[in-house]
Parts: sequence; C-alpha cells; structure tokens
Amino acid sequence: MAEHGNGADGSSGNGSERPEKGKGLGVLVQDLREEAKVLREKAKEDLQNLKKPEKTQLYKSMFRVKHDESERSRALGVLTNVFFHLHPAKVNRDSVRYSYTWGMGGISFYLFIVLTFTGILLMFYYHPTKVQAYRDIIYLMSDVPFGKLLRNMHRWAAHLMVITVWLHMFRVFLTGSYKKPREFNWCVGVVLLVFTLLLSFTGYLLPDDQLGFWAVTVGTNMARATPGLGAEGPLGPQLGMNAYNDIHFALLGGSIVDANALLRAYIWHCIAIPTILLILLVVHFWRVRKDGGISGPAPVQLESEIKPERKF
Amino acid sequence: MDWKQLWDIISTPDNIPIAAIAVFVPFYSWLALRQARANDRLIAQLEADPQLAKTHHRKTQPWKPGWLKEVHTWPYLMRIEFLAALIVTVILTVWSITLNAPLEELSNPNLTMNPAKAPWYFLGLQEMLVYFDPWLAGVVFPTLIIVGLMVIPYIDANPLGSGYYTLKQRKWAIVTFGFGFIVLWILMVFIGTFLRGPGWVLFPLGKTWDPTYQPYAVNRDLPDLFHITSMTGKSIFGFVVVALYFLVMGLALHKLITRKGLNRKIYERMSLIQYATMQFFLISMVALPIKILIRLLFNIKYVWITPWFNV
Amino acid sequence: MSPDTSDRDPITNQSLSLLLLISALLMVASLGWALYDEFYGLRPWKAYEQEFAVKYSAFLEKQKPKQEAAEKAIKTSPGYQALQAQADALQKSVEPQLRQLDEQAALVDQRLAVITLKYTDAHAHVTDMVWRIEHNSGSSKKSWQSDLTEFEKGPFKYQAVSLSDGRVNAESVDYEHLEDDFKALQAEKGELLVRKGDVLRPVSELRAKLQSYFKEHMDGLTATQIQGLIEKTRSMDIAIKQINLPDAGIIDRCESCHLGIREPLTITAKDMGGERAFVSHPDPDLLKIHDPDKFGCTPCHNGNGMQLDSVKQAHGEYEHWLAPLYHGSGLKGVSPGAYMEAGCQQCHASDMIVDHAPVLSAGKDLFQWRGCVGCHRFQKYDTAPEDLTAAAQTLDQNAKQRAQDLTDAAKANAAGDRAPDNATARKDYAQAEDLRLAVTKIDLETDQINRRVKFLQMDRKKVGPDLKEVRAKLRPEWIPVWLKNPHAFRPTTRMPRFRLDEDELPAVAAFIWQSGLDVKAPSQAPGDPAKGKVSFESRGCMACHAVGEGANAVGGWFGANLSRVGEKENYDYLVRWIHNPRERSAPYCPVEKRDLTAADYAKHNLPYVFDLDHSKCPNDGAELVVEQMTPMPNLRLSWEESRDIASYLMTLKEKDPSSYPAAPYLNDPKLKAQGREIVQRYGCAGCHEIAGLEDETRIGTELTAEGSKPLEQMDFALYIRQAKDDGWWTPKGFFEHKLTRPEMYDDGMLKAEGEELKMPDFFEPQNGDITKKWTPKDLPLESQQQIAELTTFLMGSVSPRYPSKYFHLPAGQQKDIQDGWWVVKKYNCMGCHQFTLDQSSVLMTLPQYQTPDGKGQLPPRLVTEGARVNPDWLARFLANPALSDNDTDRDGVRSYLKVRMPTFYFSPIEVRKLVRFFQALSAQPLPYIPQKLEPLSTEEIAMARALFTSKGAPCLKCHAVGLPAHDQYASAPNFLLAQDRLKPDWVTHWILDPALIDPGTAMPSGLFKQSDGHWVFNGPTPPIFKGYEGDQASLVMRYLFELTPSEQQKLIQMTGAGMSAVPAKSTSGLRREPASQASLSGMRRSAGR
Repeated sequence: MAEHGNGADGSSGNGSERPEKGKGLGVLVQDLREEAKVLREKAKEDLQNLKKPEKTQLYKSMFRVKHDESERSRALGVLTNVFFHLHPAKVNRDSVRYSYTWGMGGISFYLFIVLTFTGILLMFYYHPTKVQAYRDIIYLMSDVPFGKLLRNMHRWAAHLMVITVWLHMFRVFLTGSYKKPREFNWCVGVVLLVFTLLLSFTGYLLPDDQLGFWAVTVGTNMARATPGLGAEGPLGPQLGMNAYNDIHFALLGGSIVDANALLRAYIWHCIAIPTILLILLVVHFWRVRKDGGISGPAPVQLESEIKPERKF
Repeated sequence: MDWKQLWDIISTPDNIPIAAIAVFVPFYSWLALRQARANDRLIAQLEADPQLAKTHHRKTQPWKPGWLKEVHTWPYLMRIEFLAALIVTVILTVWSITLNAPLEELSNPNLTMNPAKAPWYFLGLQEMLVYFDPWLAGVVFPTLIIVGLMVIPYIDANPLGSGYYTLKQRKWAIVTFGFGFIVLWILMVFIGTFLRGPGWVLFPLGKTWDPTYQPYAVNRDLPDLFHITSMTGKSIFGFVVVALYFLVMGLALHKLITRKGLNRKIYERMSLIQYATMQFFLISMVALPIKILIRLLFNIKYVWITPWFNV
Repeated sequence: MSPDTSDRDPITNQSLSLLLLISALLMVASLGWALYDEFYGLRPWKAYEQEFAVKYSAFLEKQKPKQEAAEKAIKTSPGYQALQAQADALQKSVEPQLRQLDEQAALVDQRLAVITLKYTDAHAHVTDMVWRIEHNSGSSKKSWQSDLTEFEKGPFKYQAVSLSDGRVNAESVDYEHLEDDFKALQAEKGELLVRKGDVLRPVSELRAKLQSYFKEHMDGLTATQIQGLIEKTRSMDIAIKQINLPDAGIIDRCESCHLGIREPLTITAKDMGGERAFVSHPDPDLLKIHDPDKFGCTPCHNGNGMQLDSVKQAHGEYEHWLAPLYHGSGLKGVSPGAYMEAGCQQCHASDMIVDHAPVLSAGKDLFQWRGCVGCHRFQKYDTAPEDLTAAAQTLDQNAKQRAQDLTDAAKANAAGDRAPDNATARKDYAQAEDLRLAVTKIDLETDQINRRVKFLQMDRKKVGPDLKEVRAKLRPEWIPVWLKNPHAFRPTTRMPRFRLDEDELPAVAAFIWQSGLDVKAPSQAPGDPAKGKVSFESRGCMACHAVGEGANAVGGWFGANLSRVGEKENYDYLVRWIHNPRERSAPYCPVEKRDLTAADYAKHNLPYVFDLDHSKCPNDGAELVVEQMTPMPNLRLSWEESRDIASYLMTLKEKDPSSYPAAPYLNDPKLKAQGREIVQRYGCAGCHEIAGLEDETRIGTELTAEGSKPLEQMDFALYIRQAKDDGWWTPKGFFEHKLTRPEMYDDGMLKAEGEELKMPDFFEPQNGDITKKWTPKDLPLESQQQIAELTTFLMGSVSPRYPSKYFHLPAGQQKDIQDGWWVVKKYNCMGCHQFTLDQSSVLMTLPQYQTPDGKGQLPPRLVTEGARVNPDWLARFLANPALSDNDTDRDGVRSYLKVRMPTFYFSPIEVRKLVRFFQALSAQPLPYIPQKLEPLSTEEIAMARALFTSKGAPCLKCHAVGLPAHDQYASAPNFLLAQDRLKPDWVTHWILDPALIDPGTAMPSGLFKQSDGHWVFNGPTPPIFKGYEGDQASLVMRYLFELTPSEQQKLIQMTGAGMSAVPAKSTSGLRREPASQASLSGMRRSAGR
C-alpha cells in the first residue's frame, strides 16, 4: 500500500514541474559552459608556465635568481646561496683542473660532514657507561637497522679523513701555498690537522673493547711523562706531581682508563672537539677566500725577478 | 717468508688505511713531481729568453688569447666537487659494506694485548718511544712537530714557487719537508705496522712473529763508554756532547745552505731569528735518525743523563 | 667530448656529464647493495627460517598419515571399542530423561523471557522511587510513598505460558507476585540444569576414560596436533626468535636458526634434508628440566647468543669471543656431543654425578682416580690434607693458650696468697678459677678436634701405595725398572711415566729405597696356590683387581692389574697385606713428624700396639696415622686363606724376578739427597706416602677455574703458530694436547736441568713408541676417551659467569645423594653392588657369575636398600660387616655367599654419609621411626609356625638358620636379623611380590593371593587357619619381627626332616624361570617334596 502511494506522488510531482525545471536547467548548463571555458584558459596558461619552471613563484622564492647562462645569474647563483658562497663567483681557470688541488681539502670537509651525520646517528644508540658501552656496540651491529653500515662508515670515514688531511697538507706545501699572504691559514690548517687526529683518537676508546682500551692506555701513558706536568716526566715529581694530580689523571679523570675516561672521551669526541674543529674550519675557509682564493695554478716567477730588498 | 702473517697484517681492517697510504703517497708524489718538472722546464726556458718571459702566460696549462682567465664557479667548479663527493660516497659505502670495523672482546685491564699498538697514525710516535724517553717521544716531539709545521711559512723566506709546483726553485724546502713527512712519519707508520711484533720487537719483514722471542741487547749510555760515573760528570758530559752536536750540525747545515746560488740568496733575505729557528728545527729533526742509528748500530741508550731527564 | 681544437676552451667546453652519470649509477648501485646487505646479507637467519618453514611442514605432512594410522589402530582396538560402546549405550539409556528435562527447560525459558521483561522494568521503577523516598522529606516523601504503593498494586499484565500445561494465557499480578514468580522461575531453571548434569555424569566420566585410554596408547602426536603444528609453521612470521634474561645478561637468538629445537617431536637432520641446524634437541628430558625460557641457550652451550650475522659469529668461534660453542671432540670413540657436557659443570660443579652428562661425570671420577688431585688442587676434591693442617694449627694455638692460661692461673694464685687484704685475694683467686675454667674448655675443644682429626685420618686416602713400606714389600731391583716406564710393566697402571733421565732414575730409586722404613713382615709358611686362585676369584677381589693383560684381562679396573705382581712383591708382606691392607709397619706422628718405633712406646712402657683403638701418640698424645692410606678394605680372611691367595698371586709373572738386573746403587747414600730433590720437584708425595715428605703440598696449579683462563695465558710455548693454523688454539686444544703428551710444550725449547715441565705422561701411543712425538690421534681408543672426559671436565670448570640462582646447589636428600656418591666412588662400592637400575657392577660382568649358580653368588643389589633396612642397623653393619667382634671371618648377613662384604674402616663421618645416601636414594624420611607392630596372639603364633613349617612354604629351606650343615646350602639371610635389620613395610611388600622389588631374585613370588580385601597364603593352608580373618601376609611379617632364637629352634625341630641338607640346585632351579612362574613352580616343587 504505502509504496504504491509514494510511487504515485513522485510521478505526478515530476510531471507537473518539468517545464520550469527544464528552463532552469538550460540556464545552469550555459553558466557552467562559460565557467569551463575560463578554467580551460587558465589551465593552458599554467601549462605554459610549467614549461619553464624557473618562472614559478615557488622556484623564485627558493633561488631568488633565475638560472640562465648569463654571466650575472651564474655569479649570483653562487653568491646568493648560503652553502655555495663559500666559493668566489669566479675561480682561476686552471684551478678547476684536478691535477693542481687533488681536491683533498674539499674531500676532507665532505668527510667531516659525513662523520658528523653518521656520528649523530650513532649517538642515538650509545651510552658512555662501562656497563652498556660494549653491549651497545654489539647491539648496534646485530640489531639496529643499518647499524653495522653506520658504524663501519663512521670508522672508515674517520681513517680516510686522516689520510686526506695529510695529503691536503702535503699538496699545500708542495705548491708553496702557505707563502704570503697565506701564512696564518697554514697555521690554522696545522691546528685542524691536530684536532682531526685527536678526534679520531678519542673515538678509539668509545667501544670499550680491548683494542681501544690498550691503544688509549698506551697513548695516554705518554702524558704521564709530560715534563713538569706528568708524574713520571722530568721535573714532574719535583713539582709535586703524582699519579693522582698530574695531567694523565686530568685526561682520564682517574689514574687508569675507566668509566670516567670513557665519559671524558665521549664528551671530547662528540661535543668539545667537533665544536672547536667546526669553528676553525669556518676560519680556515674564510681565510682561503680573504687570502685571495686558491693559490694557483699561478704564473711561475723567475729567479731573475726576485726583488733584492728584504721585507723587515 | 711468512706470507700468511703478512696477509693477516694487511687484511686487518684497521690496516686498510695504511695500504691506502702506500698507494696514495707515491701516486700523488709522482703527480706533483711531474707538474714540478714541467714548470721547471718552462722556468728554465723563460729564464733563458727574457723576451718570451714578457709575453708568455707563464703556465704549463694551455692558454689561448680569448679564453677566459677566470671561469665561473658554477658550474665549472661545483660539478667537479659534486663528482668528487659522489665518488667518495661510493668508495665509503662499498668499503663499509665489505669490511667490518674491528670489535674485540670487552676491555680487560688484566689481560694485556701483545703487541699493544697505538692507532696507526700515531705509530710514528710509538716508534720514537723505542729510542727516546716518553717525555720526549710522547710530548716534546709532538709539540715540536706542531710548532715546527706552524713556523714553516715564517721561516721560508723564498719568494719563489708560490702557487705552482716546482722543484728547482724550492729544492731545499721540499727535500726537508719530504724527509720529515715521508721518512720520519709515513715510513715509521709502516715500520710500526709491519715490522713491530709482540713485545714491540723488530722483526724483519715476513719473519714470523714469535711472542716468546726476546732479543738480547745491552744498551749502554754514551758516558759509560768514556767511563764517566758521577752523575754530575754525566750531566756535564752529556750537555757538552749535545751542544757540540748542535754546533757541528749547525755549521754543516750552514755550509750546505750558503753553498750556492738560490739558497744563498734566500739566506740573505732571512732575518737572524728566522735563520736560527730554521736551524733549530732542522738540527732537531736530523737528530732523530741519528739517535736511531747510534742506538741500532752501537746500542747507545742515552747520550745526556741528568737527575731529572735523560736524552 | 669534442676534440680540443686550438680555439675551443678545454675547460668550459669539457663535459663531465658522462663521468657524473657513471658515478651516479655507481652510487645507486652501492646503495642497492647496502639495502640488500641490510635485509639479507646480514640477516642469514631469514633464509634459515624460510627454509625451515618449507622443510618442516613437508616433514609434518609426511608424519600425518602415520599418526593417523596409529590413531585409527587405537580407535579400532577392542579395548577402545568396548569403552566406546559402553559410553554410547549409556548415552542412549539416558536420552529420554534428557529430552524430558530439555522440554521442561524450554517452557521455563519461554515464561522467564516474558516475566523478565516485565519484572526488570517494574523493578527499575521501584528502585527509583525508593531512592526518592529515602532522599526526600516531608510532603514530597509522603507523596512518593503513596505513589509507590499505588504502583506496586499494579496490576501488571502479560501473556505467558503456564508451566503446567504448555498453553499461553493472559495473567495479571501485582509487583510482589511478579517478583516471586521471577525468582521462582530462576530457581527452577538452575534446578533443571543440575538435574541434567546428574543424568549426564556417568556418560561424561566414561568419555573421560575413553580419552585417557587413547592418550596412554597413542605415542607421538595425534593427526590434529600435527595439523596444528603445520598451521603454526605455515603462519610462522620471519622474525628474530629471542630469549632475553636481563638479570643474567643473557640474550639468546639461537632459535632464529635452530627452529626445531623445542618442537614436540624428534626431528633428525635426515628429516630436514640433511640440515643439521634444524634438528630437535637430542635430550628433550634435559630440556624439560632446563626450560630455555628460564635458562637460555648460551649458559650451557656457550657461543655468542646475540650475534646473528654469520654462523661463525653466532657460535662465537672467532678470536675475540671468549666463550666459543662447546663442540664435539675430534677424538676417536667420543660421542660428538661429548664436549657439550662441559656446559653442565659451571652450575653443577657441586654434583659428583650429573645426570644426562655421562662424559662429564666420568671426567670428574677420572680426576680423582687418575690422581690429578695429587698435584692439582680442585675445590671439593680430597680436602682431608687441608682440613688436617687447619686442625693442627688450631691444636697448636690451643696448646700455647693452655700453657699460658695455666701459668697465669698459677701467678694469680700466688698473687692471691700474697694479697694484702681479702678483697684483692678473692679477686686473684677468682681470676685463677676463670683461667682454670678456660683451660678445661680448651681441653674439651682439643678432644673434639682430636676426634675430628682421627676421623679425617681414617678417611684420608692416597692414590698410590705407601713408599715407607718398600723395603718390606718390594724386590729392590724391580724399582728402577718400574720407574723407567710403569706402562711397560703394567699398561693399565695409574702411575704415570716421569721422564727421568739416566742420572735422575737411579737417584730417585735410591732415595725411595733408602727412605723406606727398615721393617720386615713376619715370615709366612707357603700356601696353596690352587685354593688361593679359587678364593681370589670368589671372595670379590676381582671387583677391583684384574688379572691378564690387554684384551684378556679379567676383573675390575679400580685397583692394580695383578698380572705380574709375582715379579715385584715380597711374599711375606703380600700375605700381611691381603690379611689386612690397612696394617702399618709403624705409626706416624704428625706432630713429631716421624714414624714411631717400639722404643717410643717402651719409654712410656706401653706395648707396641697401634690401631684405630690405640691411635694416641705415647709421646705427645697427638692422633697418629695408624692405617695405610689405601682404599683397599680388609676382607677379614683367615691367615691361611691369605697365604693361599698370596701364593697364588706370587705365581703371576711373565719372567722370573731373578732375571732383573741387580741395582747395587740403591744403597748408595750419595744418591739419596739428589733423589730427594727430584722426588720433591715431581711432587711424588702427592700420591705416595714418603718418609720425610709427609707435609709436602701440591706442586701443580689449581684447576678449579682453569676453563676460564684466557688463551693468552695458556703456555702453548712454540706451538702457538701451529695451533692457530691447525685450529686448536683453544682451551680444548690445549687440554687435549697437554694431556696427550705433557712434554710437548717443551719441544724445541732449551731448558735448564729441572726447568722442564713436570707433568708426567699418563697415556702412551697405541704403538708404544715413546721415542717419537705422538698426537691424540695416536693414542689407544680408551685413552682418547679418558682425555675427552678430562677435557670436558676442565673446559667446564670456569669461574661463575651467571647469578648464583642459576646454580644447582643440592640440598636435603639431593645433597645426601651427592655426598654419598663421593664415598661410593672413593671405595669403588660399584665394583660389587648395583645402586641404580642402569648401572651394573663389575662382578656382574665377570664370567664366573654368568652361570645360574654364579648369579646366586652375586652380592646383593642395593637399589632399594634405603627402603629395606633400618638406618641404625645399616650404620652398625657398615662399621662392622661381620656384625661381631670376635668371629670376624664371616659375613654378618649373607654368610652363605662366597663373596664377602669387607671392612672399610669408615669413619663415622663417612658411615653417616653412606646411611643418608641410601635413605635418600630410596626417598626414605630421616630420622627413621620404626612403626609399632601389634604383638601376636598365641594362636596367631601357632598359625605362623604352622605356615612356616608347612610343606607349602619351605622358607627355612633357603633362609639360613645358624646350622652349619644347613646354612652351607642356604641362599637367603637368617630370619633372626629381620628384627633390627628390616623395615616392616618393606618386608610386607617383599613377601607379597619379591620379583617386583628385585627382579630375578631367588625368593618366589605369588606366595599370597588377594581374597576379599586381604592377603591369604597361596597354596595348601594348614588347617589351623580355618576361620582366621586377619591378613596372613602381615601375620608372617609380624611373626618375623618377633622371632627369637628359641622360637627359631622350635621351627627347626618342627620342620625336622625337611631340614636335611638341600642341594643348592633346587634354589637355583627356582631362579631359572622368570619370577612369575618361578613362584608357582616353586610351590609345586616344594609341595612335591
């Protein structure tokens, strides 16, 4: 019964209203058509713009300059980028040849970045305590996703960095790049070298295994012999140094390599030295720029042209 | 020849860097030398022909008028840097996958490792420990090395060879540095790695390391050879000897430096302080191999003995 | 790249894109590799798990049909069928009842459904109102109350079925009735359920029976269970399986690869296609005791439980893991799992016998028997010497203190005498008193300590013979021959070969000869070797001693092999030794540190007598050493029999003693000092008593924690490199090689005289060629086994790595058992007796005990000894097995046996240990409180007599009665012993079914049969029993416990003719058949006679 009723109402209703409804519909459809046309135009436009992305607002906001082949934008591309502007806009044409710089400085820096990255990740899994340190490493190698890769990469990058730093210094010397006006930067470089070694050395103890333990023991025992400051060094005892107040004790936070030493090594390795190193790096790079960029390849000078007067 | 042991040493993951050095250092030395040669040839040519010197662009790298003197960092430098980063990353990744960082048993103060070796890059210093007291080898030398390196720019009065490889123009500097870097540092690392066995005993290359082997050697002190017994006597004698060494070596070096052409010129450009500092470091540096030699040849332990320190 | 033409700038025009592309690709590739390495390369266990899932489910599929078949077989078996039928029948019988109940329930439910609706609604309404009433006051309260009463009036209308006739009709009630109806219905419902349960109970019980029947007949899993396993395996997720025990720092992931270990069925490598990693644990019972979830894996097996990235790593088989997996040995004749047992030692160090670990247990024995303890200290092994020294020290202090006190007392007294006034005098005297009191206290303590010392000395044994007696015992010229190489003279000897060179050997020999006491055993008349041989083979000597070399050696291994004893011994001494091995030529005074002579006793005009009853030193009252420190017991043989045996032994020789080269240097006094020095160096005094070296301490290193000694500290000498290359640079390798050829670590070393390694050679190569260097492989099989056993023991002996709660510290009866084993092993009780069913005594294996009569001659099995005997009696028996002080040439219990329980002269300490051991072994409570037995009435006595003398029960035929004529054929103990000796409960069980307690016993079973609730004699009962309702078995038992000698006499007289000598055959005849028939046939025989 009820259903029937409904059906009848519906049909009759439709029947009565069809004409107006049809008119209204026609209008609506026309409006829609116009709307659609406009939209199509807009879409065409956007597609056009998308052909050259450097025109988009997003792109501009990011890079601030357009990257065409023009002199200017090439220069700006470097200057306006916080990372790139370590470089000058232009460099000595021949210095881009590998044969001159060997790229060792740059690689060292890259390795430093890699080490920071992996190092931070490693810190998530490591407790600098006698109880946990060793277990953490085992855990890291057997359980942590990519843990083994992480640890290996950190260690090997560290070794590699030592080598590249050495080679960098070697190159700088051979090209006489420490000469005026770069004397000071060379000194900074030497300090950087020292800290690189220290960084690697402090990291040695952290796994708290036999290798690190004895390496560090041997290493720090030398401190005992520091003249005047070590209990076993010349004039040490005379100056009242003993195993519990000398520099060796200060380094380890104890008379033997133990929990305290572990903690100290950890803090030196993860906080203190990296910070110092970073600061010095900034200075180093800054000075490279200020001292006139990469030293060469420069035109050769001739012995015959040496000015006789001394600079003093 | 104990190949197995040799292989064991080389294949120890922690020694891979040393293998790398063995490749890198010679290669880059060669690379540098080649460019130095080229430059030297050019220099010789220009020295001979002042006319050409006026016009020539004075580089071994090719140059044509119309070429840019400077190129844009972007892309010409960046792309190389990027390439380098890529390659390094690849190398690192592969290295990390194939070789595991060593992890030995839990540290145990009661169980001494034999040999207990410092990290490879400090082996040079550890090697020094054999010939010098810890306070020298472990403290004084490192300091001297660092300071020595830092003063280099200030004592090198040679205006030439800045920014290009050359041998002729900087023979002295390069020879000394090469000696310091390659002989006194790299070589020591190798000795420490390959020749120092258990008990830090020096084994010939490829001789089996035997932990029970304890070589016998009487080490005498130089004063004993002259039958000086009293401590004061020894101190004075030692001081005299050392002083003499400095004097003689200084004179020798002086002769060497001031012998001929360029070096002479440089010498004249130097202030007294510069010269003295240079002399000091040179003499000290030369002292190392000498001390090593007299130990190896004459089993002489100390030269200068005082109540406070021995040298 | 375009050619570098003259005008194109090489730098700006050069393109790096190719290089960049390549390195980019390389980069991607390396990252891909890293990913692969992360997910598979470093996770080999994943592959294992996948493989396991496949192979295991395949295996299970194979199993399923088998088990299904088995299941079917059981389900179709008559037993099961019967039960099944029974159950079904019962089910059917209760069906109608059930149906009716169900209908009733259905009705109730219908009605309840309706009522509940109504009621709950109404109830809610009421409670609401009640709350309002309670929380209102005044007018509103009143109005609410009236509303409530209104509401409760109802009426509540509903349509519901009536329970009486199932029809639906409208009802209308007020609240009260509604509530009652509701409650009633609920009650009804519950009631119905209960009734249903009652009806069903018998059925369900039967079904349960059916289940249990199935369970006990089905071995292995049912098909459904297997199906379950299959599903489990299929749905197993690939993940690390880990056991984590933080308190012990255990993280074990072994089961990530060894997935089969805990599976409920046995999986062999073959089942899993040869993959050995997947087998199930070989010893599931062991696993039950040590639940992996509580113990992990590595505590027993070692290895690096956390590592999973390679087998080598996981098994800890690399330089930097200090606890590598315990592995099967490479030695011949050693089970591959042997070295695994080392893992037990850490926690079971205090157990002498470790179940499930035969090899380790054997190792523990060897360490004692081989005499390792002589040189190496090991906790719990041979502590007597240390205890004795400790005691000596306290005694010494006490003596000093005592003297001091006495003098002080005297002083105090004197002071008191000289005191000016009484007060001070009294004070002084009081002090003196106190001091004297102190002295008496000290004396008491001293006595205690002395007693203890005496006991310790009784229990103290040395591995080797007493060398003070050499002059009386040995032919001098034999000594150097022996010292040169004991194995040459007696291959199986425990005496190792000390590598003495030409000048050491005579020196040692000379020292030993000259340091011997100058005594002689009383000379003896020759005996009869033939008789001697018989005695030797029947008295039980062969439980420890063997005769014959190599393959045709017959007898025990514990004592020396006597094949060539005739070449070395002095006849007179041998007689004395056999008569009483503990007899000493002279007592040793540990205080004076010398052997006393008759003179010492004469001084105090005492007779020169020293034995356990006269063990005080005449000079200083210290406890003397009055016994020889040998475990060999006293067989209480007559002098005559001793002579016979001795003269038989003297016939045992390969060549004539006179053929030995003379050794004149033995008496060269110059050699003595040198010899002493060598003997001291080699620590001979560790195993032998040597005059002047009684207080020598052990020369070897302590081995209690040898297993955890770092490799670097083990002296591989020049073998380090070879060991590393050949893969035995491990504790295992070190021990194996050290035990095989101790001097190997001297090879190629230049060592000064006396600097060489001291450890002697215990083992000789198969070919006996000791001039060449030999390796473990060259040893005879049993030697290799012994080495494996010792190595297992040593490897396991590590310093504790886990919290003590993991350790097994036996307490209560467990401890008693372990303590007992020490004594049992010490005296080789297992040579004659059987303590556990799986262990067999030496005698049982000897030819002369294989015949039925021989079997009858075997010493008793002690499997149930604790349950059988009264501990107090046992203590007495152990102390004196003759159970008599005057007539000792007999066995207290089984005089009818040739083999004889010897006197071991146990100290009370050891007696106590043994008694507790037996009680614990059969789980008997201590102390033992004998149960009260109601005394027999006169007629009961009469009945008992009748039974004992009836033809049906020829008890007295076999049981000894004390008549020599009869007892020589007896084969069972005298009833008179029962009273003190036995436990009533045991006796009852015994007479009911002896075969159950002691399979193959001579005692016939089935003597009694059950008849309405109690046991009655199974055979022609004597008439007197008419109308006796009591339990006849207990009657017999009680009679035994009341038996007196006179009563026994009566019995004998009554039996009369029956007591004539019965040939032993008849008894043995009983024994031939299995116990069950034995009884019946026994009955028949006796009846016939």
